[in-house]
Amino acid sequence: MKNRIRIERAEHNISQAMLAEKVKVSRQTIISVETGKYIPSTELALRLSEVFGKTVNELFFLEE
Amino acid sequence: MFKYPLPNVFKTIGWCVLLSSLPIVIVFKYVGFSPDKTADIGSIIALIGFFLIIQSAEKDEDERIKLCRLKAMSSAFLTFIIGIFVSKLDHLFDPFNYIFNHSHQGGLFDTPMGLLYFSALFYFITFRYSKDEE
Repeated sequence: MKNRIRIERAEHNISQAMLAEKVKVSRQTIISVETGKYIPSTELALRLSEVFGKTVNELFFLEE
Repeated sequence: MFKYPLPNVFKTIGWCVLLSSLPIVIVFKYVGFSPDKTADIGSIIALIGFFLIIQSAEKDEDERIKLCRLKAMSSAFLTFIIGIFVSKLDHLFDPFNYIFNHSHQGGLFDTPMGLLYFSALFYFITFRYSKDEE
C-alpha cells in the first residue's frame, strides 16, 4: 500500500511532530506510516484525511 | 478507575520486581530454603514482574505500540509452547536429556521459572525489534 502523507505534509507545511500531535499518535508512527512500514487503522486514516482535507482514498492507495 | 494499559511507571516497577527474583532465589538457596519452595517463590515474583512490564503503557503509547505488544505477546506464547514441547521430548528421549538435563533432575525448560525467563526474553526481543522496525 502506498500513501501521499509525506507529499501532503510538505504541501501543508506541517512537520512530522505537528502532524503526530494533531492525530494523537507518536512521531515514530507517522514516520512508519510515511515509509509504508505501518498501515494505519481506519480511525487514524480518517483523522489524517481530516487534517489534510482529502478522502482516505486520495491519501492511501494500492500499488499497481 | 482501572486504567489499561497501566501507567508507564509500572514498567520500571515491573523490571525491578522481575530482576529481583534472581537474587532472591540465590539468597533463599544459600540460606537453605527447600529448592521447590525457592523455585515457586522465584516464579511468582518473576511472573508478577513480567505481568507488570507487559501490561504497562509505553511513553509514546498509540495504536502501533499496541500492535507491537500483541506481536511480542504471541511470540512469548509461542516460545512457551516450544519450551514445553522441548521439555516433554527431554523426558522421552535420552539425546535431549543429555543436552538439556545431565542429572535427570529437571533441566532449564523443566522449571516454570526457566520457561518464564525464556518467554520474557522473546517478548522483549520481539517488542524491541517490531517497535524499532515499524
